[in-house]
Amino acid sequence: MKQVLKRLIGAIPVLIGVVLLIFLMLRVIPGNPVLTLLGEHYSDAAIERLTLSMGLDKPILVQFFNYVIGLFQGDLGTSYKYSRAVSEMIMDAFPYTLKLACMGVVFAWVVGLTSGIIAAIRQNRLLDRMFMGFALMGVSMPVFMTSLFLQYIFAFQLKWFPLTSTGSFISMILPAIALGWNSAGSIARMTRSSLIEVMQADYIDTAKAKGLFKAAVIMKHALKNSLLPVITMMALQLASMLSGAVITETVFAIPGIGRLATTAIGNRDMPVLQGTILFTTVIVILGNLLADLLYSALDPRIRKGN
Amino acid sequence: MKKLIVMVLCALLAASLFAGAGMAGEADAGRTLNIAWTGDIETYDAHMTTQDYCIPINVFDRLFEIVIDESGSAQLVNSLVTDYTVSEDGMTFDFTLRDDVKFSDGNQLTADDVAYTFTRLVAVEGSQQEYLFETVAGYEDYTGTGNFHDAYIPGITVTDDTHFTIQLTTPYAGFLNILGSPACCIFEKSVVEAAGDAFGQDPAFCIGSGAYTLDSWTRDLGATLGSNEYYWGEKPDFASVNIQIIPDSDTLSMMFQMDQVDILDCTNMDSAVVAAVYKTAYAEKIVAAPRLGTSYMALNQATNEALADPTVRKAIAMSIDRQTIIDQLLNGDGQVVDGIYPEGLVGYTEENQGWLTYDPEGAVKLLEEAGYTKDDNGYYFSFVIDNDENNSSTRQAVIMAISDMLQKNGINATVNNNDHSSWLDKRKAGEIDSYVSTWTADYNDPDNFIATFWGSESRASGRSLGYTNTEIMDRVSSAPTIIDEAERLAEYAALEKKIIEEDVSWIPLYQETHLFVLSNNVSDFIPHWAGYSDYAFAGVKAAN
Repeated sequence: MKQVLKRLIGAIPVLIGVVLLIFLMLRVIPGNPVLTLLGEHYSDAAIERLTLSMGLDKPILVQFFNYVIGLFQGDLGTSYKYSRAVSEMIMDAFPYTLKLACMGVVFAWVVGLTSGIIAAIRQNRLLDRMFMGFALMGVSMPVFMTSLFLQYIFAFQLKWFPLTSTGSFISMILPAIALGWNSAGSIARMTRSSLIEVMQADYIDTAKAKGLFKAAVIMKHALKNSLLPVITMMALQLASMLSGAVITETVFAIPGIGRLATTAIGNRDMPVLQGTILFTTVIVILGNLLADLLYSALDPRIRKGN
Repeated sequence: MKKLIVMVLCALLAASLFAGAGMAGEADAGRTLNIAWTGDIETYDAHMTTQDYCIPINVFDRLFEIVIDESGSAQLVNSLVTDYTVSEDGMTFDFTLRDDVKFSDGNQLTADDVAYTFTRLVAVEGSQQEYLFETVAGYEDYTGTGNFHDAYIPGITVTDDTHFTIQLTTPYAGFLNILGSPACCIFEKSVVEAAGDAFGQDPAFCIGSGAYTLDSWTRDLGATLGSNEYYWGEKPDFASVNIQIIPDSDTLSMMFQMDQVDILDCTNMDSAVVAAVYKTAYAEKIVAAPRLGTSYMALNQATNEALADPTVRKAIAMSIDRQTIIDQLLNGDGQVVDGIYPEGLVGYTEENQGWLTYDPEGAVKLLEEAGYTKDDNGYYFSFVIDNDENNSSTRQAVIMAISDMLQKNGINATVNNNDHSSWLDKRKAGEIDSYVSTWTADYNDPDNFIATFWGSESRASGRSLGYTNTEIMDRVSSAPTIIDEAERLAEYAALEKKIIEEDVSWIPLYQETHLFVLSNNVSDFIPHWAGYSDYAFAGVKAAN
């Protein structure tokens, strides 16, 4: 508990830094939100009026101060484009991203760990080569290609799944595989190499010499120790998936956080952009915290160190 | 293991069959038209957009509609009005409204709704359409003030429930056409007042007198339209419309081929896919609509010394093989234009066509006669074509082809990519050397084209043209006030000739043909008169 609190307090300066950096960066990049909003027909008077009503006439420091005060009150601002509360827009989009990320993570973890373990046990045999080939494909193929490939084969040709996602379980399977395949590949490769390394340790030979079954040696002794680096990677992958999978969401027409952010960039909808980036930053910080907690749960040396 | 695989496959197959059955049932039960857009629906408030007309066109009505007649010309026809008169000086318009029109909440349409809507169009903060009413009396005092709740703009007078008058400050022959544009949808006063800032975003306040109602709408996902039980016109074939937002064009293409989309808009499809798939396997299901728009290459006389020289601008125009671009990159779906106004628009004249021909040798001769010599890299001069990354893949290919053609002719035209907002920012600041774009009619009048670009110095600068001939710009801004129609159109033709043929302020490229592909559920379809991607779903006929 103390460790959790310590980490959460440590995240505060990170969040402040992120808020300041995002705010300044979004005001430095070219593209005037007022001109973007006004479209093709506009007058100087219209520009002036809209600039005033959006508060963009105020000095940047005042704008930042107002934004931070709003944050403390739980107000992420109002979208320039849609005149809606940013928090409301994020909460509309997040369930889709959450569902996609959770399914993607389950796929990545289950398939990655299983294939990594089997590949390590059957090192240099057919199954090893098959699973590592699968892992290599996942790691090498860009997500848009994986998405289109899965969509074309399993939705368009075989008609097993819907082409686009409505948020239902079945419609999320292909996007989740497309999103999770890359992570599954990384997990599989890391699990395999880590397990192979641990299997060569002396205490594994001792366990075998004690007459334990091979399965017990692997599950009870080797796997637990080999999973430490893998766990860190898995937790971080969960955070990155939750922060929005733009390409997967675009190909499968999922109205999640990634699409919300990319639309906001095009519209120079600064409040929405700031809100989504801040939101995903919090997710990544929590993901890191989760990784640390899992790490200490699995490794008694870390717990004792605390 | 084998058993397990077979079981998993069977389960997936069963699930897919159930999913498929669900989809088929839905289509049969409700005569639902399935539509997909690549871009999100951003608003239903026609005052706050200049391009997002999908909901406004279908949920609201206008005083007039524009239809294409058999000769291919756009004609203004009555919609919510039954009759109107125009005074001899062309400044006073008296209208009579239909007395049988109700909004979808059952309330009667009255002249108060019309006066309120038009006052709001001018006065609402952030209106993108206020310029349409700049000739209406009181415009200056009301524009952008937010003052539309208590009194109507002085130029609009309500006589009774079905009669009202609009008074202009100067004659404007194109005014009636403006009233037929999508921006001039008629809203219900009490609903807009109750909605406040939520109007345009909350489906609950989307109450119109059109054929459809907005039943649901989710950002980035889509919308559902249902029938308006109070609709005064002919009931549409499709009782409901399911609009999906599908940002990826490959996904959209697959959906159409799986009968999940009934009308495929080819605008955002790769032209190679259109040629290879749709022009072959679906040739009989293609509906072609000429786009009432001109694609052009703007040349900025203010940012680049060479481009300030009309000889250079003409040489650039002569170095571009527009017919090859149409044949190779647009699959032949377009025609070369030599002016500002596209064919079909009021003011288009054959007299201003045919002056510009592809003549690369002639272009080089022009440059050398004007004293230009090649530098060490083999170029006479250089300039930048700024590309907006929101452009379709076809448009981007056109820009690359133009750059290539010019480079081969000793003109170093390099392409610079910008995201949309940056591009717009630079263009409006008058900082872009050159760009390729299309202007499509908002309303059927030459003023909508010529005044947008050459109506004033600030407009020319905002389009990155750097055009400074104030005498011509004064003539452009006063042309709408010419009461005699023949005289007015003659003036527009003369201005077009001066600005394009003599000054080469922009290079006219082509007028595109907009292709739509129909599924087997649709037998006929009337595209929007200007060839927009948005159209009236009531004009879509169901196949038996």
